[in-house]
Amino acid sequence: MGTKHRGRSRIYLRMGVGLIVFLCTFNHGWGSPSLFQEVRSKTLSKLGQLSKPDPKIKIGAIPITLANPFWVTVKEGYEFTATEFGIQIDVHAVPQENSIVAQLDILENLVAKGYQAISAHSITPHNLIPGLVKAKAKGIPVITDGRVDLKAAKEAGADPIVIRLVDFYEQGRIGASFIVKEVKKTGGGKVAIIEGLPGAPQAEARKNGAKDIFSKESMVQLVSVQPANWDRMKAYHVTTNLLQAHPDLKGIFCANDVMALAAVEAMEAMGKKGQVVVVGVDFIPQAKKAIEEGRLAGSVAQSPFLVGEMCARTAIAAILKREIPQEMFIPIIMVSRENIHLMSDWK
Amino acid sequence: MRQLDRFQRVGLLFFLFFMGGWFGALSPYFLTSVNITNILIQSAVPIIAASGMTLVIATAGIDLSIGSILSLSSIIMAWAMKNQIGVYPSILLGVMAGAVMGGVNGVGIARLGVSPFIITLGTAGIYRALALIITEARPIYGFPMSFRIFGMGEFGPVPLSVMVSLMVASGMYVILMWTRFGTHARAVGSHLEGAYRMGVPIHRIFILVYAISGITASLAGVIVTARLNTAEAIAGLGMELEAIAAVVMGGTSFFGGEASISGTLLGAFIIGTLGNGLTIINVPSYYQQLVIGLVFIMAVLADRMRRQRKLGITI
Repeated sequence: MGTKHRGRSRIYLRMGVGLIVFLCTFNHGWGSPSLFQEVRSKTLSKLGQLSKPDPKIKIGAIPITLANPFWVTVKEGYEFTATEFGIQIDVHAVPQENSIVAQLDILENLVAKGYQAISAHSITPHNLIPGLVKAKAKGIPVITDGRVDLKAAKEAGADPIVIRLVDFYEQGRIGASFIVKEVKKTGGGKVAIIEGLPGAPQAEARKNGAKDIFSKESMVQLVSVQPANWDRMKAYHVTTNLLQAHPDLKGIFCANDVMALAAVEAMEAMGKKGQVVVVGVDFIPQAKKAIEEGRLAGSVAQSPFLVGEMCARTAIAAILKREIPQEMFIPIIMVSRENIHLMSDWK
Repeated sequence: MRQLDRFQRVGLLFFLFFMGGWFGALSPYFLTSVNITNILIQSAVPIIAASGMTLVIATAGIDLSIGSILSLSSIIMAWAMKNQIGVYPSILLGVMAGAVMGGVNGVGIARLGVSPFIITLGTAGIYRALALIITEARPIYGFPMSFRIFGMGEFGPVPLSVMVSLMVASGMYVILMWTRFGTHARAVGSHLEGAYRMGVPIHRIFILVYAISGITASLAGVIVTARLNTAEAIAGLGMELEAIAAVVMGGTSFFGGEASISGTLLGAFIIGTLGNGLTIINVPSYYQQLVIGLVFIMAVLADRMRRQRKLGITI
C-alpha cells in the first residue's frame, strides 16, 4: 500500500508544482505564491501540524560543516524553527567535510549534556553509530537523515529516527535529464560528468543518477567522468582539459554548483561561451546570478533551509512522541532561465 | 652548504618528457600547443606557491599556512574591490595582508621560539577561521575585467598568469642565489647556530622568509581569484601539500641549507602535467590517486638514480 500511495502522491506533487509554475508564469505580480513557499508548505504537510512544545526544551543540531554555505542555510532553517516555536536549538558543526571523528565527539558531548532531542547529519553511514548507541542508552531520540546505515546502527544497539528528505540520486537524474533535453535540441552529442570527492555518498549518488540517465539515452554519449573533489580550482582545470580532449562536448553535469560555476568560467576563458550546457546542483546564490545572466544553464535545487526546518520539526515531533513518517522528501526543482524568476526568495 | 641550482635535476626533466610522451601517445590532444599552454596555466599557481615554499624549506622550515593565507588575502582583496577601492590598490592591500600574515609566522618562530610546523599549523587554522568568519562561508564574486586579466589575460602568446609565475620563480632564484639575504637564509637552514655565531641576523631572516612566503601565497591568491572570478574561504585548501611536494620532488632538502628553484619548477610542472594528462586520457576517478602516488615516488626515484650514478654512491 505504501509504495502505491507514495507514487500517487508524487504524481499529485508534480501536477501541483506544474500548476504553480503555470500560474506564476502567467500571473505576474498578481500576488501568486512563490515556488519556495509552495514547496515549503508541501514539505511541512508531510509531517503535519505540531503543537507548541514546552518552551524549556533544548534541541542539539549537528549539521556537517559551516565552511559550506549549504550547511549555513540548513542552520538558518534550524534557527527559524527555534524562533517560531520559542525553544532553544544549539547548532554545532565540525571544521571540515571530512572531520568524521570530531563529529562523533560532538554527538557524544551533546548526549552527555542532556538535550531532549538531537538532530545529526552524519558525514558517513557509520561515523556516528557509537554516539547513537550512547544516546539510546540515555533515552535521547536522535534524528538522522538518510545517510546513516540503519542496519549497522540497529546491530550496534542504536535506534535513531531516520528521515529521508534529500535524494542525491534523484538530483543527479533530474540534472542530467535537463542536459539531455537541451542537447537533443541541437541534435545530441557528447556529454561529461564532473563528480565530487570520489567515495563521498552524495558525490557517488549524484554521479550515478546522472550516469544512469546519460547511458540510457542514445542521442548523447557519455565520454568522460572525472573527479574535481568539490574544488573550484580543480573543476576549472578539469573542464579546460575535458574541452581540450573533446572540443565538441555539448553538456557537463557537475555534482555541485561550485564546480559548475568553475566549468562556466573555464568554458568562457576558452572562448566557448554558450557552447556547453553546464548544470550544477544546490542552487547557491552565485549560481542563481549566473543563471540569470544566461551563463549557467541550470541548477538542481532541493532547499537546504527546509532540511534544517524539517529536522528541527521532526525533533520537536519526537519530543512530543508523535508518529514520524520515514520518507518526507523535499520536492526538487530544476532551475533554469525558464523559471528563475520564481526563485527570488529561495533558500 | 651546497648550491644545487645548476640544473642538476636532469633526471626530473627526463621523467617529465617521458610522462609527456606517454600521455601524448595515448591521446592526440595532449601534445598540442593549446594543451601545453593549458598545462603551463594550470602549473602557475603551484609554481608561485612553491617558490615561496622553496625559500622556507631552504631555512629548514615549513609553511603550512599558505593555503589559508591565500584564501584570507584574496578575501581582503575581493572585499576591497567590492568597496570601490581600485583594482591595483586592492591587489596591493591583499599582498600586504599576505606579507603581514607570513610575518606573524616569522615573529612566532624568531621571537617566541615556536617551531615552524606548530606556528604555521596554528595560524593556518586562525587565518582560515578569520576567512570563514568574515565571509560567513559565502563566496565573493564578480570582479572587474582589469582584475580578471590576471587569470585569463595574455601577454602576446603567453598567458599573463604564466608570466607572473615565471617572474615569481626567477625573482626567487635571484633572491636565493644572488643576494646576501638568500645566502643568509640558506646558512640559517644549513646550520642555525653557526649562522648565528657568524653574525647572520637570524631573527630578521626568519621574519622576512615567512613574510615572502606570505607574499607568494597572496600572489597565488590573485591568480586563483581572477581565474575563478570568485574569492572564497575554502580556496587553497590542501595547497601547502602540493607546494611541498613540488619543492621536495625538485630536490630541495627538508633539512635545509640547499634550494633548487629549477627543481621546484620541474616538480610543479610534473604535478600540473599529471593533473592535465589524467583527465585528457580519461583515467577513472578511483585510479587517479593511485597514479598520482606512483608518479610522485617514481619521479623522485628517477632523480635519485641519476644523482647517485653521478656521485658514485648508493644509500
